Amino acid sequence: MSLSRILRLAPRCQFGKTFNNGQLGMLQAIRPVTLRVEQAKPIPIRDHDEKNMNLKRPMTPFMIIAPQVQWLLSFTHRISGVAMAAYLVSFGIGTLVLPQDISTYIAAVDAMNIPSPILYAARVLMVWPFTYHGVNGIRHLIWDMGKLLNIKQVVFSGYLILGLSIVLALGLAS
Amino acid sequence: MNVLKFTKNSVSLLRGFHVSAINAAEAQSKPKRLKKFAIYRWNPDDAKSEPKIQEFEIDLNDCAPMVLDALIKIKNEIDPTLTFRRSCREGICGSCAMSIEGVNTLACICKINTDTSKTSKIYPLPHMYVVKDLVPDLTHFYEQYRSIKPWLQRKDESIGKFQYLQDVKDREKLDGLYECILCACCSTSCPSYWWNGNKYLGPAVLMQAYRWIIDSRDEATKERLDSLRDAYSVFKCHTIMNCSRTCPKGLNPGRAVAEIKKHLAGLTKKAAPKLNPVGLANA
Repeated sequence: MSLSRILRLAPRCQFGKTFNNGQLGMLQAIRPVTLRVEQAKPIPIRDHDEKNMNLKRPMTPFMIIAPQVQWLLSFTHRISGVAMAAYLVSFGIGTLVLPQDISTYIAAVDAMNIPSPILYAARVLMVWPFTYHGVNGIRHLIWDMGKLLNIKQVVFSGYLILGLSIVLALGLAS
Repeated sequence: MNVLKFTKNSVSLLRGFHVSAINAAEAQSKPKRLKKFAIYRWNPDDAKSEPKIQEFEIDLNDCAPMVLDALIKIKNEIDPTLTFRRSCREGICGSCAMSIEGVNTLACICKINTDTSKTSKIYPLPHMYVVKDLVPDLTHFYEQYRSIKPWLQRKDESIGKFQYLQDVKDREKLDGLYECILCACCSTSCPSYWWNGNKYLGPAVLMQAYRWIIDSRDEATKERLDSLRDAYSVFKCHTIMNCSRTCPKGLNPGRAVAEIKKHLAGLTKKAAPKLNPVGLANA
């Protein structure tokens, strides 16, 4: 039994005695407590991730987040940017590697006699990342000037640019 | 007189007792509104335990309206091991921040969805390490708050000597910033904070950084801005605006971050104080 444990238990024994024989005065029932001022010990700095991984704490899921327009549109902005980068790379490599000019391939697609509504839909899908990224880019520039940042304005302008980008895509593809 | 008082008290006591009896009877006579709650559980003491979702069912007729009331009811009556933080139960302490039906908010000021056909999903704040059940480890969040030095800094030796002066207009600039209770709802709803939380400060801390940057009495504006001048601290914000959408206090951290970016880019400058803060030095 360590010294500190004895010290902690001793007053309790005294307290018990008071109630057992009822002869000790109430003064003895008071636990002798000495208060001592101590400098706060500095908390050892450990890496937050390292500490938690050592404790094998799981990370809470984030896919539970409710679908909301502001982050869905932000996600779409990133995806449309990736799509355009993919165009750039694939068309660029295409011009380098493929034996014929791009007009040859356009003529080949024309020759396949795909019904025009399907062709139109495909063109809209191809051009929409460009219009969306452009229009939303302008919204980002407005945000960077510190405007349109109330959440109502954010949501409203979000629907607005979505509609505008679709209209522009429909127009450009026709 | 004392006798009268005594009778009066006991009568009101009796009446209160009577009313509560009626309420309980009423709750029993109504058809039960059984609502399911699916709650994230993880027990650190069980070495092999995996996080799981546990369902609880309670009668809404016999429960107060807020999600925190339901959690307390579950803890009191069904499973005492259910662990969550709570304190003020009125949206001012920020302890009970959690993800309720996919939205980070305070359980104490979020009404239970009374549609009993739907299960309410309750998770801890997203992308955080779990201490137990609904309790995330916020140490890093608080460390980041410490890193922005959230206190008044002066170049002179005036601190604590006299009252600082601040114009009403200058004080108004702090409205919508100082009310933040640091519940971490916004930071943990931010995808940038999920991926880069170790270096990106997150909306809550940045809003407090901005609160001190524009305080007319603070003189460390340049140092504060310089400490944020890198690719991560502020500029990992991509204006997704989840922060402003989710804030349970209705504040706008997204706008504050945009303002810091404007300061860092040199698009705006902090205005000189309208009243000399040390105007009372020789008074």
